[in-house]
Amino acid sequence: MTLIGLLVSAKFKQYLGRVKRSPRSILSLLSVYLLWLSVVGAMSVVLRISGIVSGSGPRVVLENVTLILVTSVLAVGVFLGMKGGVTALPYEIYYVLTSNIRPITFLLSDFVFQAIILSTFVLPPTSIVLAVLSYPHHVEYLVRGLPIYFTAIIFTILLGHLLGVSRHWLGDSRSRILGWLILVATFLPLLYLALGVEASPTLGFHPSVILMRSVSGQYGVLVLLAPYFASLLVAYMLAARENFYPSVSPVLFTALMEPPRQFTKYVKTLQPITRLFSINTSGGGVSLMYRLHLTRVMREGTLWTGILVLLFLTLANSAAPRLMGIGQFPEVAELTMISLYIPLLPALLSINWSRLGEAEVFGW
Amino acid sequence: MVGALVEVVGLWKSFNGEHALRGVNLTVRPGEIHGLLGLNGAGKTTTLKCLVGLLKPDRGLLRVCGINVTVDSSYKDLIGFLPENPPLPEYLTAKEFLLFAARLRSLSGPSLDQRVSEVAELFDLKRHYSKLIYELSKGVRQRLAFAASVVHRPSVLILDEPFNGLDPEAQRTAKQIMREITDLDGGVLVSTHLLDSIERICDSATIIHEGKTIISGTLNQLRSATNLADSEPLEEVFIRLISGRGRVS
Repeated sequence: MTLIGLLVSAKFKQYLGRVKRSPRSILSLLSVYLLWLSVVGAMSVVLRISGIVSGSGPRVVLENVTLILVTSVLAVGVFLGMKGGVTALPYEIYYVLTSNIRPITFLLSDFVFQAIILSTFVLPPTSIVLAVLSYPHHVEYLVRGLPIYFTAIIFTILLGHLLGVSRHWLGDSRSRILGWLILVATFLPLLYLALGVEASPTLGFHPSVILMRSVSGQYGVLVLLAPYFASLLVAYMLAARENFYPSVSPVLFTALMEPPRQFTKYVKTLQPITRLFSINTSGGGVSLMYRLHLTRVMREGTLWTGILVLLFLTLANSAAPRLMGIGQFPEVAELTMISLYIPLLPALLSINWSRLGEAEVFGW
Repeated sequence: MVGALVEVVGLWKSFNGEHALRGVNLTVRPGEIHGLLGLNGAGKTTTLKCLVGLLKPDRGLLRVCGINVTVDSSYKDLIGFLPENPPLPEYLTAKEFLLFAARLRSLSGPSLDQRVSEVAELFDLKRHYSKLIYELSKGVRQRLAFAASVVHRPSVLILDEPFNGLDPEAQRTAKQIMREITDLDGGVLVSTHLLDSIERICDSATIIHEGKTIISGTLNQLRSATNLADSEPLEEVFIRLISGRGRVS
């Protein structure tokens, strides 16, 4: 096995390790994933049946869906880039980065890992939306759309890695400023769309807009992506020659549920309430573990972070139907989109509750 | 110094404007086990992280086997590193992890399997070979981490609190390995709070306090700096030096 293959397989074993622990955990992960896909499918069917698509035609809706999706994927890359960009698990920091593994090897292994993970989360639901909304032209749209979404994934990983390595070149604060600038630039097309104002002609050179236009068959515009890719690749090659290891920080499994450092300060004001809940040690081991973690997520703030994340997603998705120009039937669309995120709350919380597995380890 | 395996000269490192290191100096010579001593927060782990390339020093010279660690990473093939409370990949088996560590350190082919088998035997890990790491006890995990740090026969071994969780038998094995490395003209730099362990195995030591080296030398040199007899325990020497009751050199 090559070194890249070795690093990727170890990363996957570690990443999916908890899932492997029991058939129940595999089943629960699969059920959450399938539930998510079915909600996406149901939402698309509602949009289709309610005639929203027929109002503006599938082309416009699919272009707008592509714009939103590509922008979101790029924004995720920029956001992760500002958080570090390169996903290094704690064992990698101490064992891989202290070995003589070349930076390019480590970067490429993470590139493969991120490409697989992002594709798993982005491509199947996108295929469902595309297929349902564009039926009976679904094959044509799938052939056009999926390579475009995959391109956005590649783009976002390159961008995330480069932003992560930029901390080595520019220092933390300047890298963060650069990240914010790119994030604002990433959201520009959506901003124009949301405000309903006429976009500047220069916006035609925006990567999201280029990808959006290519979904409706204007492949010629893809040439405009070449300078972006060329610049990213040159920067990537330069980054891969740098010893950026000292600026790599470990990725937290709790991801979105990890309370930001400043947030914990505000959570302290809730302490009189959270202290009202105490752990009653009577009862069985499993229920004790639940109470223990419920108390923990309340006192350290992850529960409140989860609620904020859900609120943000709900607001963002209430705005989405308007962004997509489907004002004819916004209530149903909003309701379907919000319902998409309802299963996410337990999923997000469960990320943080992974230590519930301790109960299994102790045989309770 | 000519022939030194590890040289740290005038090492400074700050985090968010606060100095964690303010001038650390130490030298590890071939055939020497060198202790790095200090109170909690003195800067021992930060010094070791700078040496293994996990932190970028603000200033100072760091050389391992004559290689400047801030410009050339080839020295990493020559070192073994055991971090404090090592974060191991919980969902690999003990065997998978040893093979992984060996591959990272450029071992391959039949020598890889043979060497992994050797260190597993040495640290009594074979009966845990097929278990996932999260199933292992703290002591076995520490033995596994120690085995991974020496699987490639490093010339320089850098250990951060290596005796945490090790039972007496495993501690003896660890010390034997450290001595085997120095017998082959390698060097060991070990940071620990356990002064009695250090006293029995170290040839020399550096004491750092508040991010700064206050003394470095053989154990007898440290004793004479505090006007203590050779029979006095290192603990007394250490307490005197960090409380400023010794002659600092």
